[in-house]
Amino acid sequence: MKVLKPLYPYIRRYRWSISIGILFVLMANALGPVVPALLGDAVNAAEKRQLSSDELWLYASLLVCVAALAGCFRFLMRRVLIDVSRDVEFDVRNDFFEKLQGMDPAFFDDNNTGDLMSRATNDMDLLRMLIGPAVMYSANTIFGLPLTMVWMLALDWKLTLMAMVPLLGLPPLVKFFGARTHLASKAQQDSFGEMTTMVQENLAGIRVVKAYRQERAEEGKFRERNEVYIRHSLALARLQSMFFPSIRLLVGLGYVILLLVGGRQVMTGDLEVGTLLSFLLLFGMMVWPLIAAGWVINLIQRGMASLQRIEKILGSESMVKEPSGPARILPARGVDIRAMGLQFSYPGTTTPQLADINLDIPAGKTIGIVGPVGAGKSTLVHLLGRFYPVERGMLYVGGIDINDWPALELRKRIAFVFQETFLFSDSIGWNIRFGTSENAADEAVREAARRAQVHPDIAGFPKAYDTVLGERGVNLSGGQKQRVSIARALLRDAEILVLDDSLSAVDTHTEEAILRELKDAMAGRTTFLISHRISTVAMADEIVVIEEGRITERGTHEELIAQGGLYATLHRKQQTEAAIEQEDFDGEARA
Amino acid sequence: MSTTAEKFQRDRLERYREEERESLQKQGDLKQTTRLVKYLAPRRHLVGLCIAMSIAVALLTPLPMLIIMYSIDHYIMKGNYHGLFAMAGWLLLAEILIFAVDRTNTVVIARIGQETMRDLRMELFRHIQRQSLRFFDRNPVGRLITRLTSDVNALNELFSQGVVGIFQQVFSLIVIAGVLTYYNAWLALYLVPVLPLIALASWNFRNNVFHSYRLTRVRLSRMNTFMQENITGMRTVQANARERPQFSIFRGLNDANREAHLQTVFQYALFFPVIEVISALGLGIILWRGGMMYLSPEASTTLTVGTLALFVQALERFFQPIKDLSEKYNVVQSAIASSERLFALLDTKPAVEDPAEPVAVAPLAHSIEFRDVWFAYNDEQWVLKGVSFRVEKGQTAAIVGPTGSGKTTLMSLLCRFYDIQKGAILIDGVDIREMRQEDLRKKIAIVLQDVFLFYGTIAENVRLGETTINDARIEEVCRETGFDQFVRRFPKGYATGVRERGATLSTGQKQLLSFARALAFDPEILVLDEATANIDTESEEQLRRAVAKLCDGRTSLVIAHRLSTIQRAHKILVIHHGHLAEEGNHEELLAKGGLYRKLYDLQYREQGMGTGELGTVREGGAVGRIEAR
Repeated sequence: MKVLKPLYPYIRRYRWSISIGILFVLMANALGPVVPALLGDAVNAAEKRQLSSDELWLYASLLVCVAALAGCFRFLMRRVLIDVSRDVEFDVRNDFFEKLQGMDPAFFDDNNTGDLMSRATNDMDLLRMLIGPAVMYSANTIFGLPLTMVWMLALDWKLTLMAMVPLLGLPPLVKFFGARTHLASKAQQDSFGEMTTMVQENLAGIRVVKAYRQERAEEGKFRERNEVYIRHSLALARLQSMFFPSIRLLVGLGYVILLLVGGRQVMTGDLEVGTLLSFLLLFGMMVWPLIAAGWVINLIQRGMASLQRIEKILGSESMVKEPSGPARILPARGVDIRAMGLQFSYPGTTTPQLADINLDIPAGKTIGIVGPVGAGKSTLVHLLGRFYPVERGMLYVGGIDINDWPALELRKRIAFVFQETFLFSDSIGWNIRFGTSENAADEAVREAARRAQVHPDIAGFPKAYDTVLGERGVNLSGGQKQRVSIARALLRDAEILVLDDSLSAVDTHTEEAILRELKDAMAGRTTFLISHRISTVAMADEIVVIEEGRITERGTHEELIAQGGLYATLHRKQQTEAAIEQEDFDGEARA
Repeated sequence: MSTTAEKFQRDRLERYREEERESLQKQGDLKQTTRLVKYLAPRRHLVGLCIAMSIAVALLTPLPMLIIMYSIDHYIMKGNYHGLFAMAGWLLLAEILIFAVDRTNTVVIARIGQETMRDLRMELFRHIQRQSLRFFDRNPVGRLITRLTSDVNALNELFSQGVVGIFQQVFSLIVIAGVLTYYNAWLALYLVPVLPLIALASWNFRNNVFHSYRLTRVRLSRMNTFMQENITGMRTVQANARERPQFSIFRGLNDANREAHLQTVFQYALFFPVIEVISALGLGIILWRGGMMYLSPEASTTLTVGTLALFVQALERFFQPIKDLSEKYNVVQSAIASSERLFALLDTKPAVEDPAEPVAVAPLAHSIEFRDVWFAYNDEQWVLKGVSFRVEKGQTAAIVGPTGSGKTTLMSLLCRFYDIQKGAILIDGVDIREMRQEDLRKKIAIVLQDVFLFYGTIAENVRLGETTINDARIEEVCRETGFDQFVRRFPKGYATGVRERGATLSTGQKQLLSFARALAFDPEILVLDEATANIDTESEEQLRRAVAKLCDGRTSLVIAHRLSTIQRAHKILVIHHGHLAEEGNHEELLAKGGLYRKLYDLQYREQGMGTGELGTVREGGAVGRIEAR
């Protein structure tokens, strides 16, 4: 029951609805046995010829009324209890989403999208079943069985007990099949998994398969897995094919006893024939709650496992802690950034990603960062956005330790353009406004797009800024996406601008145009330019070269060229590269 | 005057409504489903057995009730205990018979379903294997897996629950109705007014549930897509401080999803009790009219207690199939959608097909030739624009050029992974499109940059599925490529398990394994994409020797990243922007001072000087920036 603890706050919210729902279950079940009893009474009276046609009419209409009332209660019980489960699902899902929004990138590295989505879908479904159907059917069984039995016992306790004897076989039957079904279905799922893995591997390696003509061998492999899966599926089907007929057979034995013993009692006059009829009907009513019990146990077990998986996410904490204690007065626009011996390693690792970084960036200056892949360039700006935890005393923004900045306040001041751009499946206009407010004026949006050199592209779509992106809409090229993200950042008018290798997919010509436009935007803004291309960072006030997490060179473009280090080497290579790009050669003429 | 935010909200809702309208208009096409019959044909005996069993189940269902009726009227009411005893025996026998038939039938249905699915799955797999790479470029792995797994399973549901289930239920409805009419036609006639009520309730339920079911599907998937998108783009959301607005959109989607589900809940909550009440109405009618008959003094319309009991019990059974049938409607609907997708996949023709009359393939005699080859992955975006060259038997051609110039494409085309749009690729003067793909690929071994390892042992990864390659041969090729020295370090040797992204082997070792693989297949033509990845010096030297060994005496096409490879090549082909820019040997091209000279300065010269600074060079260089996948 401890497992269920995370559910209490949700359940509490709906405790009245749940109580009322359970009350409806009780009412419906209380009325259930009345119908067979009425029927039996009527038959008994008719048998003794003590029934007028008016009384008969009364019996019949009473029967229909009771059934209608029971029906109403059944409708209400489903309505109330299942609705509650949908409401709880709604609440849990909202909390789940909100929790994800507060998590740091390391969390998303540990929990991949597929896994999180499976918790939000499959596990959420099972959790809902735990709250809705499981509760409803357990209540049904808990009230239904005893109430029916009480009626039967009241009619004739000896006959009841005798008819129940075969049902004693039920618990061992459930236990026997339960254990085996569990094993068989696990084997079936495993073999299914193996088959899927094999297909996945085949598809991922299809080039090798084709190049080495392994299609037939792969078919053989697949056939094997397919056969194993079918074998396990059939084994499971065979087991299941025994279970329900066996329950039916036990109940059938009960009928045999009822017929034999009850019939004898009718002959001796101990039992009226109408009562025997009631017995037959009541006995039939016990079957469903019994079968449901087995099903409910399964639901509860799976639901609890899913609850744990969801709770694991709901219970996780972001490693980036919001500042505690009294709120600080945050500085006005125009903050400087200072790193003092900044050191950082990704959570769970020991190798330092950044070491001994010292930077002093006055407000409004532009800093260029160059270096090999994985040197720590992006990490540096991620720390600035409080995406990862930083030790105290190492990084200051506007003279305040970064740990004392509420993440949201800090990020409002920074416009990021990341290396991997991300756009949502909504209209382009909406995506550009993503960083500010949806109410930004159309004119401002167009201006930002113009400066990011993407306006002509957008204007070329039939629906221009209302063009919807994504699966059901238009797909932009890598370069277009980058330019839209730049427009998004430009519209934000934030005091710090971070361009993290965000021009990699645009051609050199467009890059130059964007950089020209950016010059204006960068005036009065602190700008971080991270790039592989020297041409991008050349105009920065200060350029640092980061290698293996350390600053190895720093200075202006001219100073670094003069130093003749990595920066100078890269510069030379890229110039040659650019020359090759523009090369005209004989091939063109021949074609 | 509305704000922009309101406009976005409005546009979004309009898009959603459009989606919902679309999904509601889509009707399942039963025509595709009839193709399922083809797969049942090989099991027609089992299908016949299944039909017989289903009829038997329906016929046996009323048997216990009939025995009880007979017992009441003929023995209990007449005080014949001895006869009752016999009847109880019959009842027991009937129950056992039902148990046996029911059980056998379930097993038979499962067998038909599962075996049919096995065949269908096999056919799908075979069909997918025959597709060209263009197909795999367009269909993500996940989608194909869904076709092979969930969609096939949905079809099984369609068969076992849908076709067989519906047949059984309808048949048992008919049998019960027949039995009631036989024993008391008048009383049965009184039940007729109930039938339109049931029909109305079921019809209404079916329509409403169909509507809300489709609605839930659309809304659920929309909500999940939004969540998935937000998880993927969470950093963007956080960096733009958009958590609150995004949450409120999500909340709206979540709410719409709940609302649609509550509609479905309402339909079910209403339908079950309504059927129960209608059933009670029938019971009331039987009690009233049956009672009147029982009490009636006329012998012609008389009714026995036993018949009354029969009617009461049969009524319960009569309504069960109706509940089941209505519930199955959704299962059938989604299975039809699955079958449409499945058969559409089966109808996709492979883009690359074998010729009707393939030429007999002889061993390579003189050359490989590309003659004015034009190729585009997407319709007019030419990747190769009229490339022509010739490689003589036994020679090595090195292909060099900047990223994206079309080098890898050349290799895929030689293997006929794609068909070219213009020109011809010839082996000994024969167009490769005139050969069977299998014969063509038998001549060629291709080694890709990204080494793909299958889950299995090292030996299995060298041999793949080729049983003719024995252990001795595997050891031999591993020795020749120098891979054996690493294998010997593993306690299990060649039986060491590897997996796709496992860390058992280093990048260099994986390369060596793929070389051994190529060597084991002993091809006439070698197509090699040299790895650019950072490799330790020990493996580097190994690789150099292995490449030399591989190319030795073979006709080879190598995308070269190593100076040593280029220097050894008989011919260098410089590819740039989809053209053959320069052709010649190392010295000639260096002397020419053209594009090759520049590429050499940029990429290869430092290898020759032995700086070993490959990583840093690649970083800024043309090769590294995009190719680093």
